[in-house]
Amino acid sequence: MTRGPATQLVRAGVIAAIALWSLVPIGLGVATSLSTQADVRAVPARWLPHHPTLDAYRSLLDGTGDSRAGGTVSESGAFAHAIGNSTSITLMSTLAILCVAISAGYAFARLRFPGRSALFWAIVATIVVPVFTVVIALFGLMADAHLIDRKVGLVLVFAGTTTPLAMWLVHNHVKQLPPEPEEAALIDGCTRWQAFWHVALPQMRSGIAALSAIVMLSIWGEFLIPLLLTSTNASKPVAVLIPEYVGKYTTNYPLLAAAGVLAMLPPALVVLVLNRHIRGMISGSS
Amino acid sequence: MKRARCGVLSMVVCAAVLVIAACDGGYGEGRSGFAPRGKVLIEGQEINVLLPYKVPGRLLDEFTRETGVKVNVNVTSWDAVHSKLIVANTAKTYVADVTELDWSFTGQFAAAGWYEPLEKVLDPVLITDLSQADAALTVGGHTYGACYSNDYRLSLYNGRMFRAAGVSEFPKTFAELGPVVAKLKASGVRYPLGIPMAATEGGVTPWYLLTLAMGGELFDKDYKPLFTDPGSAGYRALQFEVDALKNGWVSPGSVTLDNGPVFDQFAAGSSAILFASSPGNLSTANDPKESSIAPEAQPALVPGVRGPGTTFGLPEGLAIPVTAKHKDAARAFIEWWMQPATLRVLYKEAGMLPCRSSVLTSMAHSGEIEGGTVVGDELAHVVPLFGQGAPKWYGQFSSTAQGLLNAAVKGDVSVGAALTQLAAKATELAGS
Amino acid sequence: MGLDIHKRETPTGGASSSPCSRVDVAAREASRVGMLMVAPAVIITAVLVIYPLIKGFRRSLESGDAAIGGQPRFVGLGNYAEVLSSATARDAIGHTLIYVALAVTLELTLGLIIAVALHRFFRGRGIVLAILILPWALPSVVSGVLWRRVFDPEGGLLNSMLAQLHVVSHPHVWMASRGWALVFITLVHVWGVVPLISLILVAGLQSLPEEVFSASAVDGATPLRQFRHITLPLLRPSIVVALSIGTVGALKIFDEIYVLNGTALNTRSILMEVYNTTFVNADFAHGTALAFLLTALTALFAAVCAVAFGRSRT
Repeated sequence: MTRGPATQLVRAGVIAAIALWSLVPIGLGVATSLSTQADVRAVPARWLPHHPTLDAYRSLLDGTGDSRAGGTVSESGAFAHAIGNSTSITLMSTLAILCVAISAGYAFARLRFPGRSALFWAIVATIVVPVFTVVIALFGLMADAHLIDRKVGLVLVFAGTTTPLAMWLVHNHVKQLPPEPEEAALIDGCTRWQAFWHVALPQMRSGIAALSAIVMLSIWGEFLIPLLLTSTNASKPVAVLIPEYVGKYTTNYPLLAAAGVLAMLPPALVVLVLNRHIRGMISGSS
Repeated sequence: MKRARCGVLSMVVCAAVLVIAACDGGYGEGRSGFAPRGKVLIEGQEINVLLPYKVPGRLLDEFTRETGVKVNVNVTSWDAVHSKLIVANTAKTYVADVTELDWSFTGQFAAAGWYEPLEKVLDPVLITDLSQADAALTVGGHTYGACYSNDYRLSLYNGRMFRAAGVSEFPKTFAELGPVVAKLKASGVRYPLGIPMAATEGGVTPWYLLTLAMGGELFDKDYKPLFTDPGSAGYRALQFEVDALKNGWVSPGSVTLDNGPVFDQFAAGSSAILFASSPGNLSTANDPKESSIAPEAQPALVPGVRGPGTTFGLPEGLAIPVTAKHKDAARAFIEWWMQPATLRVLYKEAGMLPCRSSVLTSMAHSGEIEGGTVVGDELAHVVPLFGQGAPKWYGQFSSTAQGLLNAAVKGDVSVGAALTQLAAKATELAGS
Repeated sequence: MGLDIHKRETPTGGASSSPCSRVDVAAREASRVGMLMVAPAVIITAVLVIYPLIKGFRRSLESGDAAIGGQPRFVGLGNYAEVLSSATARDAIGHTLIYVALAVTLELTLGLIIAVALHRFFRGRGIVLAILILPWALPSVVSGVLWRRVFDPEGGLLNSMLAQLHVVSHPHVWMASRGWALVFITLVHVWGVVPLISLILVAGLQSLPEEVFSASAVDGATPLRQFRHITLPLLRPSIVVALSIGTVGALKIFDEIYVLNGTALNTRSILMEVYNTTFVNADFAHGTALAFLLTALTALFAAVCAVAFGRSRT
């Protein structure tokens, strides 16, 4: 397909718009993170700091000097630890979800077995459920299983709440793939599982990459469930730690913005990495 | 055959899940009752303390050295504390051995029977010393929390702006407030008064304060609303807020501003008076790292009708849930916290204003408290918002008030209509 | 529909009479493998979602604030009736429907434009994708603080810009109005969700077969016509997925409202009302009832989308 100059121009325009749309508020965030409290509070509003400083980042990572109750307090190392928690929880959960959702999604799409329809809709129906309906019972369940304040507990719950959506997406994706390669494999003598593993899975690669990105980003930002299931910094993810910087009386806005900026980076990195796998049509699929 | 068996099996599994879910009873239960004191009893135990603040590590180490009990402070963001406690307690599940008990939770949590009464459990000397601050944490004769952070409403003003406007003294009465505001406006302060009016708890607190300061109360002793009559303090208080907006005493944006942003404006030198502030804010306003007006922030007594007005306390206490696992260790923790030496360190390093009358008085006299005499003097005018005891429906009342008062100040509904609706809701809540 | 592999495995094509025929063996293997493959998903959903859901439902059938002392009484659907008769809940439902309509329209339009621009691999696409997802990756509490600075009535970015462009004469209190507050909250929501929608549509565009495009290009179709008549219909499954996710997400809107306008009455969504009932009033019974009503509403929307999907697959 020809890519005329008009197409290139339009695409460039769209990309510029994307950049503006994403970056203006985020640029504001970065600017805030390089400001001082006085800059942030100034009236009339000061959008760019007069003297940019890295103080906020220092306070975030090294801990704030005084720990005034009612304001923002940052403990040395707590933020870095939280990022570590978020990373490990997200990676473990995504791995678990991918395993469970891909196998189930494929099976529901390609294989016939008793109760297939009922089970599929039972699982998919839970996507519409808002988390408020299940929090109390979930909390009690996790407490009884002694999984509060443990990363494993969070991984399990995320697996439970995210698998239905992931599975549904896989199911749809598989339905769209041509069945011929798998049929050929089966005729050649492969078992169902072998057909899945050696033939279908490689075809799904780009869809899986997109799915991984979606799952990882959803989990990274989860708040209510980790809030209830974690108590100490041992397992607290970054999404739960950051609201603690909003004090009862006052908030250290530059520190909060700095935390937000740093918390945005790992997901952005993930997308950069996965991008190579979300390949275009020209370079072929698989 | 196999197919049929698998179908039956999956149905049985699903049915089992349904049955278990429907029939399952309660969750874990905490140990009830307290044992006589003794170090041997609690040595080696580990307790969780759920607070929205950090406690200096070395203090906790001291406690561990003294008693052999290890402490994990579970810090939770201020907004999330209530939610977390509600979920855990509704699920009747252990969450911590000592938790935060804000005065606004008291009515609700006490009625639900989620917390242990402490008046017979803690050292009697301590109970007496805390009695004034604990009044807001007491319901039906039972004290559910030991106050550790003595927050109450106090006014702040910008000394430099006052001097520039030729105002020598902070107004003592509402009558004096008008001329002062006029002078401030004349000297170039566009919106001299800072009052949050958003549909939040912070936006509704000024109305509570104004009601008290104008010499009235929200409810009588039988919880009948006292704010529907145009002559009542509550009515005049809301009218004051509406007028303040109309006359340009407060900025028009106040209707969407909560405590934090209103304070920010004060700290930026945009407003001159923070009507319903707190001792904690005074320190922040005079911290050059946080505020551009440092060191001009001054505390002042809330104005009243004929002299300083009544103000109310919003204390936070340490409380022991009934689901706690180590109640004796929890008691030891609370009593250790309340030692004068510990309280002094906590004030100095964490800004928690002590609640023990004896400690507070001595600290005020020795100049350890920022804002010294005024902060101490205001205490004489502090009363609990609900002298009759915080009702269990306070949360619902407050959230209804938030919506209605915000609508009234925005002009969506008249003052009379808003208060009548609020009174109707309160009566309905009180009756149920 | 689905895969009828077993039909093809008997070259003679007729029904077989022996119980050990290749057809049955293949079908049994498919059945066995299938059940094993779905087992983990079924178990995990049953234990961690369906079980708490049923308990939650049971709680919604009991008397109001059962938390507050006393034994819970069974009141059947009483809570549901009370919730529906409450004016604030009805307003919340109305607001939510507005949010959904606005949000989904914006999300799909913007998402499609972005997906078309980005689905082909080009140098630097990685960076653009990374920038695209930043709004989604930003924690909502931080996003809230930033957007508050934009909409701040006194010195906000929006008011400053409008004042400089002489569009308004005095600063507006945007969040206090009925209409504008809803629009701006939707905008912030869309800002955060467009990355996800775009990703879904990008994945969808990826799976379209190349041949269709080359064939039509040879036929002389312009890119725009190609898009309208070929791409869009083929993309329908992905659009329906994006539509469903966007709708469900908008129905559950909460974070943006919470940080920008709290529990103010003029912008409450259903979930905000649930939050207020459950966490502020500690009334889990009514709160859960409302949450289940939301679930029913969402299921309804989802069913409509599923029907659309079903039709588009033929």
